[in-house]
Amino acid sequence: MVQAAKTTRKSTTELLTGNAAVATAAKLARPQVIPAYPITPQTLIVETISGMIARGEFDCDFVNVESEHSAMGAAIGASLGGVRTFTATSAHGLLYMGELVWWAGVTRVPIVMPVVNRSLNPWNIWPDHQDSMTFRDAGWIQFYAKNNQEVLDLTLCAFKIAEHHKVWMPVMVCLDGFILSHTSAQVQIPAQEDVDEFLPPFKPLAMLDPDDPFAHGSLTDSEGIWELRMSLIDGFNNARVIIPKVFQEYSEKFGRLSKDMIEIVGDINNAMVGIIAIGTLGEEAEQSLEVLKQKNINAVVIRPRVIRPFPKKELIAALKKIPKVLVIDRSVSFGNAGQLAIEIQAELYVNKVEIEFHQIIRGLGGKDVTYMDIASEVEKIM
Amino acid sequence: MSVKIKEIMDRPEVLLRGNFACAGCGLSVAYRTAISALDRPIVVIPACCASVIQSLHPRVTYNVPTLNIAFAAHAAAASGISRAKKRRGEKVTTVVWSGDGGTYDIGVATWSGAAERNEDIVHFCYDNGFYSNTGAQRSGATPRGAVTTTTPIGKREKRKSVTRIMAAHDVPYIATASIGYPRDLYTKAKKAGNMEGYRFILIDAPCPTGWNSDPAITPELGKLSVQTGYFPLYEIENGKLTFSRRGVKYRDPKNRKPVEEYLEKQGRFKRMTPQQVEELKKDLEFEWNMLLRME
Repeated sequence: MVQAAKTTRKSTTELLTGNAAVATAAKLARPQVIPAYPITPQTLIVETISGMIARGEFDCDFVNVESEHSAMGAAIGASLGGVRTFTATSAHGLLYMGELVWWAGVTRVPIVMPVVNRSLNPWNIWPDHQDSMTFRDAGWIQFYAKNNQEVLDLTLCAFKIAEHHKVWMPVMVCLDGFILSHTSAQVQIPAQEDVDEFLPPFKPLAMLDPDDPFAHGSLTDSEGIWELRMSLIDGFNNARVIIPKVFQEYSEKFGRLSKDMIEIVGDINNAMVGIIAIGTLGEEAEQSLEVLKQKNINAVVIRPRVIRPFPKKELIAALKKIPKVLVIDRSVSFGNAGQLAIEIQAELYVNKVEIEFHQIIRGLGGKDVTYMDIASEVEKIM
Repeated sequence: MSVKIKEIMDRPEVLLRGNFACAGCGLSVAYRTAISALDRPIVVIPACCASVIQSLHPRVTYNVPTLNIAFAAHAAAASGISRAKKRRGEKVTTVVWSGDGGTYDIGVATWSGAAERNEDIVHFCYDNGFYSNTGAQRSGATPRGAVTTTTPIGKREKRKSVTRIMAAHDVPYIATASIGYPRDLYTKAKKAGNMEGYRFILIDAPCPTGWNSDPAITPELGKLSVQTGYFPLYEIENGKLTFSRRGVKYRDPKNRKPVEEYLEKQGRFKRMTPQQVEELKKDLEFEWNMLLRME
């Protein structure tokens, strides 16, 4: 349930593309350095930010670097230099910066980076989740947004979560290319004063400082690596607690989002089947509920908006209430199955949940998946 | 204008005891001399010997804040630090401390981008002419004829001129220096530290382990490289090259010692044929002629 907003200040409503929603959220969050490199379909983010800075609406140092590898390299430097840092990328850009994505993840540099989901080789600019899913093990928190409003909301929350001293790790906010990035929709934009209250200035937990020298990322033996990896695992455990708290705070202040890492749409207590999907596939699945109802199928959509940390408890609590589930993945772990399906199956087994389990992979390379498609897939398993 | 020895001696120690450097390590001399010349340095180190000799986490022998970063991201990370510190209003000197592998080869894109943006960074390349950290493989800086573990019969190509590539970026300051002349190195580092924009100093840093040379003669090799004309000392400012006081006399080939004197002290050149030595001499002559055009 979304609570009434406590804020008295007015928000504005505008028609924004997903990319404009990202740029608007970035501006509201007041990062001080943004190193970035353009790639379709992320380009409008860097173009919009450049425009905002040129018009004097946004006081920020935008560094148009010569590659994504350098974008993340510079982001790591800027964040450890002691300022709020933001960048954005997509697909091959994410792969090219991969070495540094891992670097930022495992050494816990609190950068916020939207990833505009796009298919990988051969050349294809349309959406699927193969790019960000390839990096789900890189030590980054991962959010997946279902619409442009959630893109803005999750991006603002991402800064607060990344920079929370009990978390202190980078966050990827994933949005489907074109379906969100280039499609305009109504977005409520909170007032700057409210965002400033929600997101106070950056407070470095660790910073490169000549008055207090230390070495970041230096040569480490097995014992040290063990210690650092355990600390990263602890960080994710902390994030499991902090994320819902920040979501809750956001929800109370702005009247959107809820504390939950998963969103449930439909009547789960009377559902005959659950549909699990992330990003826009999750919202598309919501549209299929009405179609299914007409065919006397009570379905429910269970959509994780957080994938790392994996919302195990929330998912299991939901899955215990339904007899059957269909998991739709928009990416594949080649040689096995869709990543969501694999991870959910593991939790079902560990928690001894009796459920009829179905999985499909859809929408690769941007192949359109409509609510009618989803409804007919559900019908097949009834 | 050279600084007084006393000034160098009085600077705080930047490289502490207990580091993992080999005996006779040229890099450690270069690091101590150059970094100590800077005001409030923050040093970015990509993969190279400098990322290994700092000791094991959580111990560290660098007495300055250090960011270890991926091989090909040094100047990008330094760009981020430099920009962040400006936003915070903190006065620091942001430094890239990279080997020749990271500068001549894998890191070209990152420094070229940073140089084009004229980022406020002092970039030092300590040049030992091969990948010393990974066990002596060839790099773009390896001279013709040198034996490395990937050129077992000697490298067949000439060494790349990284300073001329850097000069094509028209950055405010470029210099070469050798650990054989620490006062010259310190002076250049200090001068660079007091300037703004992208500054680059290439340092000749012998590596007895990889060069198969006597650790005791590291400073001597640093001098011989200059005296034989193998490693010219100069500065490039505003597109104009000036040979340094320490090296200007070797501008005239008659004043140079025979390059064989430099080669014979290093095991890596032991297998060179007389023909290869002649080719190497031609490479050096070619480089000198290119530099003379920039005077």
